[in-house]
Amino acid sequence: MAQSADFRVNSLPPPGEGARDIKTQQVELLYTQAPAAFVATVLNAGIATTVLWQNVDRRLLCGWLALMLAITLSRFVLVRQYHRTARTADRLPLWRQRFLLGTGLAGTAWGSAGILLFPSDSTVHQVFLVFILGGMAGGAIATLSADMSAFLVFFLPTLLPVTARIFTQHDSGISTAMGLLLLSFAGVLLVTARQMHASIVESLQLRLANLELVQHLSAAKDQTESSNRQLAASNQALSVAMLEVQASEERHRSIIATAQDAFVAIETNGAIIEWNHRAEITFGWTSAEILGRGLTETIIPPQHRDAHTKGLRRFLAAGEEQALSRRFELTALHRDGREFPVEIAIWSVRLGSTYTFNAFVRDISERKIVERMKDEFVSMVSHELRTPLTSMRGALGLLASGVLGTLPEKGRRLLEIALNNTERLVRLINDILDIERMASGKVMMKYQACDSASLITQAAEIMQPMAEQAEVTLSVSTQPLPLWADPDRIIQTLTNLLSNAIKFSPLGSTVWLTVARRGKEAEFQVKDQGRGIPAEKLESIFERFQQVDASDSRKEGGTGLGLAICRSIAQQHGGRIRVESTRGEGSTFFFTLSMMKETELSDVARASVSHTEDKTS
Amino acid sequence: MSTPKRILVVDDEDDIREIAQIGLEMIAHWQVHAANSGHDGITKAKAERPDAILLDVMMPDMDGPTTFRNLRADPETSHIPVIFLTAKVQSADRRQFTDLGVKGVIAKPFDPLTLAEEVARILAWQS
Repeated sequence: MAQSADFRVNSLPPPGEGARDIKTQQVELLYTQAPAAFVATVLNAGIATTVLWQNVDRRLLCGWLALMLAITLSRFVLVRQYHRTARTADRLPLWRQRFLLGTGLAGTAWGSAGILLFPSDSTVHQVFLVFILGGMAGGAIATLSADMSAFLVFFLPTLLPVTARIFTQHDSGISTAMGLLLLSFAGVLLVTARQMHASIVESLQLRLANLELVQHLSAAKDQTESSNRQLAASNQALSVAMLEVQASEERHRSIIATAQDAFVAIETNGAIIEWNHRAEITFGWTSAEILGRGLTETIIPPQHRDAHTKGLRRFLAAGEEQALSRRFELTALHRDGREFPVEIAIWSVRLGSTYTFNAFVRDISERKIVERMKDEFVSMVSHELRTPLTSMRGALGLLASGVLGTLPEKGRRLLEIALNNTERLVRLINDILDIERMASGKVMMKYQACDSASLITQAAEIMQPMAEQAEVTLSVSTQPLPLWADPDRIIQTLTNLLSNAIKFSPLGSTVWLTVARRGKEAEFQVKDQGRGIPAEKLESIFERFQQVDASDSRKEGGTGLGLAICRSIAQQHGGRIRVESTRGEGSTFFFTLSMMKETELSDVARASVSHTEDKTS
Repeated sequence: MSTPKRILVVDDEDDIREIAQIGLEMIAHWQVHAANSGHDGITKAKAERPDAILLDVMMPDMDGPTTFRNLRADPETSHIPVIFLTAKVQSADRRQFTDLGVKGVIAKPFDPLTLAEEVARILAWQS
């Protein structure tokens, strides 16, 4: 069956392919059965030659035997070639024709014996010859009936000549009887051969059908096995995933259970479904008491309940809510009726068509107390330090002005030193208060529409006298870019950067102030030709009290807080500040602000604004 | 300046009051009255009817904003322009004060040499 697979395509055979396969099998059978015929031919030819040796012309007999052996040898070579060659569908008819030719020749050679080697003088030998030829023809049923053409091209030439020879012999009635017997024997053989042929074809058809069935079954089995393997792999992956989910859930549970913040989860109807240990401590309700109860009537103070209900309704209607995904402060209600400040972060989880809302809630009562104490301390320090400074600065200023009389040179110099340091102390206090308030988010940024050109012009006007005094040229180039910012704070930043640039610029050099659009941002640049900043200080100079040279604050009268304030202002505006510098050539400070839509910026503004009041007066 | 301005300085800190007084008198040659509390300030304002009042914000008993409201509530003093002297320098605080109705805010520490100039600028007095 190996060769049959060569002709087949993968699945079902195309029309006609089954028939061709049967032909293939028939040819295969012919070639497979041929060796038995060769053995019979050689044996019978040898026996015939021996038996007829005394009755027939020996040269003729030897010639016939040689012919017979030559034909058999040729057929043997053909069969060997067939078995050694790869059979293909297109060469199948050729192999069949070759076989038929060889078979036809063999039949003709046997048939020629019926004429040439017919022993006309010995009836016994005639019977023997008929017996031999009839035997060969009968044997051909076994080896050739797979293909009726093959059988006929052997059968007819083998028997017809001897039959004709017997009938043409005019000796006695025995010949006629023998001829008739031979004819009837030939008829029986023919019928038997046809039946045999039909049986073989049917058997081949069954075999092919079985093969196809086996192939289909095999393919189906492969497919089933493959499906089973996939299913097994899926099951394994599912098991692993389930274990991971279980582990993850366990992890989350332990995180929530041991969290330092209260964890509360509610359903869309407001019923509490999760309540950790910290929530019990924070709100005074045990989880057994509160699970299933409404959030609104338990931990939200009465005056905020409406807002909470409306917020939830808004989310369910529109699918979005400002309160989600950010931290904010609220007032919560303890079981004992006490209200206290909390910081809260809420997020929602969608489960099909419903939601659960989860929140971490932190009691910030203590933090608020500390903040208030800090505010009070800062206010007190601010006032208590400024009051004596006001007197000192005023008195020194009056003395230094000369309105009360002229002092000697050294006295004037000492007064100047005292005055400068008093002013420095004032600046330091102002800056410390400023940055402290910004760091704690207590500075109210007054956002409004402004443009970069106006801000640059104002900053330059403020710094022009200082530049002139330092003999530094202030070069300004500007363009109007729309901004949503606190103009006072932006001017404060620009004047701070300009002040630094002027301070560290050599006489006769230039300081540039420009602005350019960079995508959706406005980028301010302050460039100087000063001594530059070492690479390792490019980041740290924006930290508090970090200066390039420790002596700068003394020599230049700075507080060491200017750039920290600038960075804080930039950050509060959602912008960035950075510096590039080359030693000996100068530095360029870049300060970027977003040019976002007003609505977006107003959100930022609302988020960063704090209405905390200063308690100082 | 044709006629010297008459200024009332109200501050609980003697030194600051004195510095302001010296500055205004010696540099601008204005006439200065001094008060050391809110109550004293109201009394002196009624008695002296100054051209302007420099009022400290943080004072014991009656602070600057309360004193200011009392001055505004009294028809005898309600017309006198008031400028706050304050250690609070935040722009939010400044806005809060100007919202009250004061003419301006001068931050402490102030420069006594330019104090008169600043007062004149805030009140738009022609020099």
